[in-house]
Amino acid sequence: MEISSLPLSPSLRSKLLSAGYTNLCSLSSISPPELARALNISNHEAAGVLKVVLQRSRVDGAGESHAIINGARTAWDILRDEQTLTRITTSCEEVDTILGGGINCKEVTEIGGVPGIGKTQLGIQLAINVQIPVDYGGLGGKAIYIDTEGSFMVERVFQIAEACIQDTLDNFSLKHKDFQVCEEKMQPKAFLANIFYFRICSYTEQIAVINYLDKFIAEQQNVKLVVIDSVTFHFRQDFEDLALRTRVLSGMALKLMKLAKKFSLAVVLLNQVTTKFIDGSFQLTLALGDSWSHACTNRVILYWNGNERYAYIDKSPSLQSASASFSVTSKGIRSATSNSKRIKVM
Amino acid sequence: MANKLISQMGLPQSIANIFAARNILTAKDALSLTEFELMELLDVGLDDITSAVEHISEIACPPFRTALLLMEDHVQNAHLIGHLPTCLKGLDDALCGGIPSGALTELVGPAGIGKTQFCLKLALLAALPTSHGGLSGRVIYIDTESKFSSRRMMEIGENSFPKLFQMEGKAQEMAGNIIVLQPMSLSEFTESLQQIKLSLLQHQVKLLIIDSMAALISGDNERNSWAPRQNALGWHVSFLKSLAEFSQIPIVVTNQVRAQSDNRAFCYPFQAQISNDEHVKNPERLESHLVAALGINWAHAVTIRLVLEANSDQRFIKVAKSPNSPPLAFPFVVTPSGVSLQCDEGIEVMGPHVQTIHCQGISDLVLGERLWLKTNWDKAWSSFRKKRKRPHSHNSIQIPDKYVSWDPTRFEYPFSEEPDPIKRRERSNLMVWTSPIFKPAGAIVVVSMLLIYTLLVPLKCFEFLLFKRLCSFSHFPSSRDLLFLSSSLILLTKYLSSSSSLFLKRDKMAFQAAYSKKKGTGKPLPKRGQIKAKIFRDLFRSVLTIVSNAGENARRRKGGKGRSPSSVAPSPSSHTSYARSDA
Repeated sequence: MEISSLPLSPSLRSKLLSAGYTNLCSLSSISPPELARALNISNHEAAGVLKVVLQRSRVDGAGESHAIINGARTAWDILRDEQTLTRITTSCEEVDTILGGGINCKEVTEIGGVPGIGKTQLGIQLAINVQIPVDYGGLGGKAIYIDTEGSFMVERVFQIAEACIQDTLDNFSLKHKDFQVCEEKMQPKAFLANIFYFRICSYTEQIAVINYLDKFIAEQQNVKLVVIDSVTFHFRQDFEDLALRTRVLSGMALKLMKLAKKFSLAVVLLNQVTTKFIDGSFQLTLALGDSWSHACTNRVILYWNGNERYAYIDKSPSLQSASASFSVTSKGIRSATSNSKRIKVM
Repeated sequence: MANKLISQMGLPQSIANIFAARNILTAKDALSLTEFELMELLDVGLDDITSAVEHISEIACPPFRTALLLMEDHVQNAHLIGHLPTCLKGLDDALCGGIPSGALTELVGPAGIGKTQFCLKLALLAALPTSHGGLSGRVIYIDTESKFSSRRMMEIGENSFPKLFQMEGKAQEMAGNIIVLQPMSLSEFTESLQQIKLSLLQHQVKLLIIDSMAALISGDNERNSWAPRQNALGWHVSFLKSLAEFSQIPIVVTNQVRAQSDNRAFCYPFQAQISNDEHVKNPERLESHLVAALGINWAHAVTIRLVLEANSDQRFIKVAKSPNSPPLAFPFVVTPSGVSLQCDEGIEVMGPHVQTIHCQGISDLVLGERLWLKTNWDKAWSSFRKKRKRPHSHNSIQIPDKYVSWDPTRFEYPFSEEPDPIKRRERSNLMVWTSPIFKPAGAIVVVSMLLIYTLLVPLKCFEFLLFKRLCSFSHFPSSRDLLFLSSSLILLTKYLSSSSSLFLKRDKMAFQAAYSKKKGTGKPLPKRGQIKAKIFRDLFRSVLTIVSNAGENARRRKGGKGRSPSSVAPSPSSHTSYARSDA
């Protein structure tokens, strides 16, 4: 293990190297004052260096514990986890089916489509649906809505929340007639109070919010959904340096992925579309380029097919690529009215 | 928030100093770099950087609000922020009360459909006193196409609010609240936008209208590549959005339409199969297909898109994109009191057709209604373009009659007023040829003089030489002299042919000189008269050699040993002289 791979500042690293400490073994049996003297640094700094070294060597030498590699898990464990994993329903049966039951927690899902297809509607719908209490078969979590485009309309949210509560109560009273409904939870105002809304006006703020979310979610507890509407807007407008854009975006995607795993919440990114010249004709693709397309776990594209809206799973490690119709009504996202069996396996 | 100074964020002093020393002053600078890049740049351990970035992020991050708070805000301040009612009941209902504040609303439609009419009405409504359902604020109207007509606006006002406009001074007060800007270029527009940001808060501005966005963007960069347009547009989009958010006013932008070409049938790669079938099925749908200008990026950025279209002799206003209303279409007419709906019940449009823009029967509508505007240049231009459009115009043969006048007439305006140098020259030529003094007889004289000059002058000098030669012979012309004369006549014809080839050569030389000048490498262009002088020099030389040769021959023959004179005719020396002139 080389010294140069340690997360130390360059000056400290060069001091260590020039003093002859090239690998971790040489640092394992040295006391902080000795190191301080050898490197001509303060005792405090030397202690910091040794702490980093110890941490790193513990990670390396974890072979003795029951797992072969520390921090790794067996596929069996993961399978058990996945079975208990909760999903957020989209309120549209067909789309839920192709998604394997809804938007997956612990995963980053990207949803893209042409203007006016219903991306924002789907985002709002998910932010409402995540709050359906556990008693009613939901998650009972809170939602964070990060709005970069200013298209979050409270009136519409209220409308969708009302319709969602109505539908949930109807469904439930049919199944369990004797069930006592806890009324205070099922109020549209309570739903609205659990949506945390950030209005973002520049890409710096977008990065800042994503950095801050870690702390924010820890404070708020029980946040189960983060919606970013849209992840594209600011990155598309005021960036000249495309290399920097790619770096910043990949950093952002990494943080979101970490967030999803840490708090086992679902991250939904709404993306715009752009045109690309492929094989002599212009075709639509999601924006932000090819390197970004690797960043998300799942990718869903919404598109028009004739007069109906369809959702298509473009990329997913576990799901079959399929498309299903949905519709946007005054109640929010619902199943397409005409026909129930509309799933098409591509 | 992005430009907040790091030094004022309350970081530990040591870290803050390091940031300042590396010229990372604002949150934007710090957050544009990844943590590892920062570690390398600042020479600080990773832990410190992580905590510092977390701190900066927390401060730079805007505060959150719950949706409930937003809702309560809206209910409380409905009279302050809320919406701008359009006074079109159906549309207001569909949009939850009118054009929303803090959002970008776009009006898109073909030329002459009534976009500007709609804008004028909105401007008037925002300036109207609150007692009449307006906002009683100032309006900034950015008119990029010079289509703003205050007379028309007053007409709309008088027809829709007759009582109010009859009151003394009211009209003046309202019109005084509408500020019109007419930027001529994109840079001017950008500048005025930045100025507006300051004045929005100070002067109670309640509405910003831009009519139209497409005119500036497409006009400025029409010939340039795709990228600069996108950049310019990107800046404007994000600026307008932040402006709307920051001042909580509605912003209305109009947009033009473009015809969509067939090969631009946009679909996803996985849809290719399906869409191909569709194209085969209904090819005529694509032909008359119009789409909004400014591209898909812009289409994503606007919050609300209203499409104005004409379909089978009826105008419709459609809510094509809106976060809180279904896709509805309302039939409307343009009346003296502005845009008005024919019924308040919207027709729900299914599928993606809400995005398409039809333009059928609009010209009939315009003629039938007899619009108040005397000339609508927009329409005139579009119909002109339609007329001009001919199939296969690019490979049709050019007709010279288009450019050449076979019957030139004398211009009457003074010659000194002609600024174009080429035309000036043409006209000066034309003035000579068409002047009343100059008769066809004069033309014949001039032409014959020229002929004489070109033919006789060289003959004369030849004759002179011949005469000298003849005089040197002391006796009468004998058969030998006749022979000499005939040979010299052959030489003369030869000379004439060679002189014509010389003239051709002159043209070639002039062309070569001009060409080499264009390339900037060859000889400079020969001055006027130089070529002529050269020709005459060559001519003189050749004649001299011929004459001397002939003389020698004669002398030799005089010497007796008969040699045929025909061998003289193709004189090699004359060829060498040409070769020399070539070099």
